[in-house]
Amino acid sequence: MTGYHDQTDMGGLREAFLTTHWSLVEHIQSEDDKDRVLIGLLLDRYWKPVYCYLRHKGYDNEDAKDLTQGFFHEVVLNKELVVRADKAKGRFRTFLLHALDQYILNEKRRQATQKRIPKGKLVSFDIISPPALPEAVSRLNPEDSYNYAWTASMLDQVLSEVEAKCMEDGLKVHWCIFRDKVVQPILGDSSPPSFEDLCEKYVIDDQKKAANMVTTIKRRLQKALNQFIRNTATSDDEMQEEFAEIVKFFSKSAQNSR
Amino acid sequence: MSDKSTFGAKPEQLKKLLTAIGLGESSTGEQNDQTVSQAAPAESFIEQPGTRIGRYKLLRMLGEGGMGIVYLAEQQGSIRRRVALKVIKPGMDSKRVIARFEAERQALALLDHPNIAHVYDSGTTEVGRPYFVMEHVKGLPITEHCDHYKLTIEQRLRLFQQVCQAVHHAHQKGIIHRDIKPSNILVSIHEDQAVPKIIDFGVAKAVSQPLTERTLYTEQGQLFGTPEYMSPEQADMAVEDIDTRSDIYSLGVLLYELLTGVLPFDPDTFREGGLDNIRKVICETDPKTPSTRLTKLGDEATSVAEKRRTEVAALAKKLHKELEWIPLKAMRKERSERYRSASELADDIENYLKGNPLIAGPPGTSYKLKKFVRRNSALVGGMVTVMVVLLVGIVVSTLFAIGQARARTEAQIIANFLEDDVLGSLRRAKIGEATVSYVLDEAAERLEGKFKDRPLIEASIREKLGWTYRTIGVPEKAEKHFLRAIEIYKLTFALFIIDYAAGAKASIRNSVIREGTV
Repeated sequence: MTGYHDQTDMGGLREAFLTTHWSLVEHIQSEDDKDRVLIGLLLDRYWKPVYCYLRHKGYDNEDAKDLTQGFFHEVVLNKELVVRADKAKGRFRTFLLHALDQYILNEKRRQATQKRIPKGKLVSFDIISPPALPEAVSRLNPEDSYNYAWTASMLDQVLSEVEAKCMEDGLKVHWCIFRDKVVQPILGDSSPPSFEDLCEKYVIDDQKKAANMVTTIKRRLQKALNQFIRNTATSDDEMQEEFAEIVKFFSKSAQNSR
Repeated sequence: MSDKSTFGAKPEQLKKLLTAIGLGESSTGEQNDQTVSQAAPAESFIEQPGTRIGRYKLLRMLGEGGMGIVYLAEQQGSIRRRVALKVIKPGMDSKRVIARFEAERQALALLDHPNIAHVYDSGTTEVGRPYFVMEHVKGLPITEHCDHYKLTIEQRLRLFQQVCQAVHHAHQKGIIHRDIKPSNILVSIHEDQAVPKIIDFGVAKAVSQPLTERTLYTEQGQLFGTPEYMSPEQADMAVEDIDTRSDIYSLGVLLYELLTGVLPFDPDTFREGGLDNIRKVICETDPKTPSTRLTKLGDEATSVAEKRRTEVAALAKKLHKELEWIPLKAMRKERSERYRSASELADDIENYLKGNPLIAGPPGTSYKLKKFVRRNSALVGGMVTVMVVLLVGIVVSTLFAIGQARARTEAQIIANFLEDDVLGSLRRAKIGEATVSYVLDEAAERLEGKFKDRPLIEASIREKLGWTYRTIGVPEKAEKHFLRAIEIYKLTFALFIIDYAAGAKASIRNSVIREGTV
């Protein structure tokens, strides 16, 4: 959420923080978002976990897409939903899941699928052809699939942000080396290339320098990751809890996949 | 990300990526990124084999827990030995995790038991991440060991006893383990003897006082432990006073698994529905008895039995007879109904092995009644009061009628009737059906012919049934039972008088004969 600054006391007066996910919701609610940029941002960032969760709850592709759109419409425009989900406020991830459960419940009660999508969709977002759910996700329960998709979305955003910033700052080679050395081997289950190979590929005279480039990007990613998580929480303690929960989720997933 | 989305990657790949980035590490972004002077390749975020930490050379990774990575390492210097070195994960060195890590180290350092891995050393790495060094236990998790070596039930029990004693030792030192499960108990072979060792005190907690003040900080809002082995009070985060009985519960689950080869709750459905469902199952669902669970395993039961060098029927019989009472007692939802200590649990295993009476028993009437009340609190209400008056009345008046000599036997007969026929009707009742009247009708029906040899008990029960029917406003049924009770009393006492008269007559005759011969 770069470029948009706000001061808010949501989450308590003890801390003022800039442009958190909470303040994003609040600004959309307070109709500051006439051009629907902010809601687009919200949808863009969070539709995957919501969609995944719904699919695991047994909704088919079309229903899950409708419900995802409907949910974001509700969550940002229906203050009642936010208020009711307020107990979970603090960590945005928890809030969103709580609000989603509430929304599903309401929808079941209403049983009015025609009204699910507001006239003239809020904003277009690319779930016309949602990606096939990966096998890794298909084995998880709804809550875990939500957490999985949340983390994947978070990583995508953080990596994209840092990549874009590197391009801006003239650090393209830094980024490429990090991508080749760390990201691609992990996601592709392959062996990382040696620094010697990378130096040759990117015409760098010293391996130590290439290693430093990796560290530079790692630091930028750390900072972006910390900032992302900090923005979904209202205090440092909650931020630590969020870290711990992410780690716990992956430990559990690893156990289950064994 | 332009090249490749992480959506679709395996969870372990995401985990690796987060670790590589350094999840939770404080970023030093304020520094000028261009001025990094030391080489720090990506692989160095996690220590690689060959790296030295203090006087230990890392050989290979042994495992990875929630907060730490365990390496097989070689101690250098005058003492050369292989050790297990546990170092906090990169990115996990938050205050919270360091507190837990420190607590584990302290917990282990306090313990000195042949069945608990020893701690040799501790320190911090060059980059400030804490680590500790402990005994390297080379072995299989206890369940795998037992299956691999096809240990019989008796051999498994002997092994399990040692685990109980180790846990008891920790409890005596004021440490609750809080995460007892097979993978935390490795069995190694020393001189042909299997030796189980508890290796992980990662979520241990001091009983009487915090190991560190920071330990308490780690308690808030997180569910520590492994759900399948977690006690109800541990799963219910509202309960703060976790005590040693929580470990007793986990030992019960472990014993259940050692005996049956499966966990008490079906793992396929256990984790469905997330944390709330897990809590609900742990706190509210009673596990099936091991024998029942075994017989419902289908083909898998044959394999389970084979790994215990027996057959399904024989194993089920062995479990059903009394052995299964032990894990079930250890796993009671109410802490006060579990074994009082791990040592008592070990003792009861000994009782079983020696054929002595067990401390554990089948779930009794009071347990079943309590369970019924817990499940049907809305329904029970005044009914319980009426029932209690009825039951107590039957027992007391019967005892008066029959005298103390036979009291014990008769009391047991009455208890069986209450359990099987009266309370049994509660269990059989459909929702909303179990009214006082329903229970009385059921009891009355089952009373017919039940006490042919003990008419006084039947009379007493009928008398009380009559009074209770009268109390709830069913006079016609009350009258029927009163009349039958009077009939039995008349008949019984008349026979008694005839018996007495016959006895007296014989006595007089005998004395006349004796006098005549003198």
